[in-house]
Amino acid sequence: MNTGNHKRLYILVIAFLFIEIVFFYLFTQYFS
Amino acid sequence: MSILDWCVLIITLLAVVAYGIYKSKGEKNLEHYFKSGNSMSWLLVLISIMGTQASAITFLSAPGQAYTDGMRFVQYYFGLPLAMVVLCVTFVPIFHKLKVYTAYEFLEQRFDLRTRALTSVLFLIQRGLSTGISIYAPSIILSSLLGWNIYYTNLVMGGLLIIYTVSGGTRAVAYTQMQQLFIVFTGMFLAAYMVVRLLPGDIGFIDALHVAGKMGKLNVIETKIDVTDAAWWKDKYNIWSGLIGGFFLALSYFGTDQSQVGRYLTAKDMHESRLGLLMNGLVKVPMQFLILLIGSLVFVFYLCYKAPVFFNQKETEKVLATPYAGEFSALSSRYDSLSAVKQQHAQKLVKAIHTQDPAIKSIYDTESCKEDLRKTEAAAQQVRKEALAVIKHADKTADTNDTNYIFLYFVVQNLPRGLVGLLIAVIFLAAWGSIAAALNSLASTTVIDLYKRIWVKERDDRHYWRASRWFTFAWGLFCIAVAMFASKLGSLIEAVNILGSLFYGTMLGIFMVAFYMKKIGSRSVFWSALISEALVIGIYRADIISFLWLNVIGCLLVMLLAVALKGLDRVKGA
Repeated sequence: MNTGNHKRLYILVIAFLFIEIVFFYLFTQYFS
Repeated sequence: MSILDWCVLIITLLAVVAYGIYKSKGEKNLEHYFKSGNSMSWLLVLISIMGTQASAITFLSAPGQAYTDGMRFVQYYFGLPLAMVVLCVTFVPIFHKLKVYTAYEFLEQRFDLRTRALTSVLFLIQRGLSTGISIYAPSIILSSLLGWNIYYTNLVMGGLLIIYTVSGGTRAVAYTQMQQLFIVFTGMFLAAYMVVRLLPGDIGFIDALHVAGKMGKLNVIETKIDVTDAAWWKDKYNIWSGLIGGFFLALSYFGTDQSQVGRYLTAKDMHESRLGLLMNGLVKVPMQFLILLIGSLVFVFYLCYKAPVFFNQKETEKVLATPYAGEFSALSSRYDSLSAVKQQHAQKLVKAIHTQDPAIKSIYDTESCKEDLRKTEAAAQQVRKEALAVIKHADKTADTNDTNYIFLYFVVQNLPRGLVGLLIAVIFLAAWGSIAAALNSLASTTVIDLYKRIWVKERDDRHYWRASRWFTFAWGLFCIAVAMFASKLGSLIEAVNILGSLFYGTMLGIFMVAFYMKKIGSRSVFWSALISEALVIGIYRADIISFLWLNVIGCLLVMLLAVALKGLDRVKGA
């Protein structure tokens, strides 16, 4: 597979999604 | 609407059309018309992708969705960033290497002309019909709330954008989308600011969040699933359906739908295409979160002030003109009384949240205030349910889903003059962004995959450029005609929305076989696609699963059947 020189960006996108999910989980818990 | 609102609306819309015509200047050839001469930066690609995906219904429906069901709808977008990464690794390099105009061109190089034509036709049917509905859906809401004629509203919604889409092609579409998104985000930000400002003096933004959260409207993450419950598979918005189903849906939409593929093929090079897509993966989820948050704030607003029992005023007026008027009015009055009780409980809950004083805490306990408010809300919802049943009794064809009307009702009833006009313009511009890209992609698929390849071969570039303009215009007329026809068939909206998820899985399956299963030939993929499509339609008709899973099933079926039918490729003449 041709991942080119964007590996860091791919990791950033996936890591950001993970952080978002954790943030949303805490957000849901905090305000409920 | 006031004169000021009309002025804001008309000036905004005309300014966008004028800008689109201004940006139409450029070379008159097919490459510039459909790929903007491969001149776009990643930022324009990003804006174009976002403007294409976000239709008017996104901005009308999402706040309404949060109002009725909470914010869990955002999970539907969790699969999108993952899909962006897979697209960048797999689809983008191949499309750029082959220098294709449409995604379906690649299928002829990998399989045969028959598979390319089949996939193109599937796309044209699905996108042509759904674009007609994306004209009709916001038009019917605007015409119901503002008393406009639905046919004229359809004409403005689907007609004005044709001027710059025909004359300027992809370039005009992308540049106007930039302007449109700027106005859309400004309008939505102002609306969010106004909701908080219009709340009673003692309720601030954080208090509103606490109240919304305690009423279950900030349920962004839904991890609880009961697999023993057969209805689990029909639950649309939990983290698993969002990650897995949303991933396949986004992969199909961005990888196989020409209205999106056509956007990132305009980039200068592969690097810019990838950056545009990855940035979309970063910003899409927070953007949807903020739009949904407005809906949760509107919910708190209507806890503090009187809400109508049903937000679609046109249906309300209709029922009041029937013998059911008395029954409906009685329910409406009961709902109003419960609204007054809700207001008191909401005030008590805010006091309980605010205070640190144990003496006051003993009177206003957060948990008991929350329970009181929840109970009253549940009672109000029961009354609303009865009111909906009365509407349905009075007119069997009545649309009892008012989710899409909630946000615009709030805007029209509560926002100051001028801002109402701007928010109405936001609806038009959001619609134009996605409709213009759809018309452009319908024309590119018709010209590149059918007209130039099958019907009229070997003419000069100028001829195909002219044909592209005519096809853009013709598709524009077709979509307006669908919108006009749809006004007689209320349930068509849902039918056509589902139509997309019925076809996307199969289309994605064909592309996945093309990319990852090198030993599979054209005959097996063609027949596996046809059989899978029939099975997906069968599963949908049996109504055993949420539509999000249909994409997964369609895609996997094509891949599995292609392996099973591999023997067909060895048949002589295959």
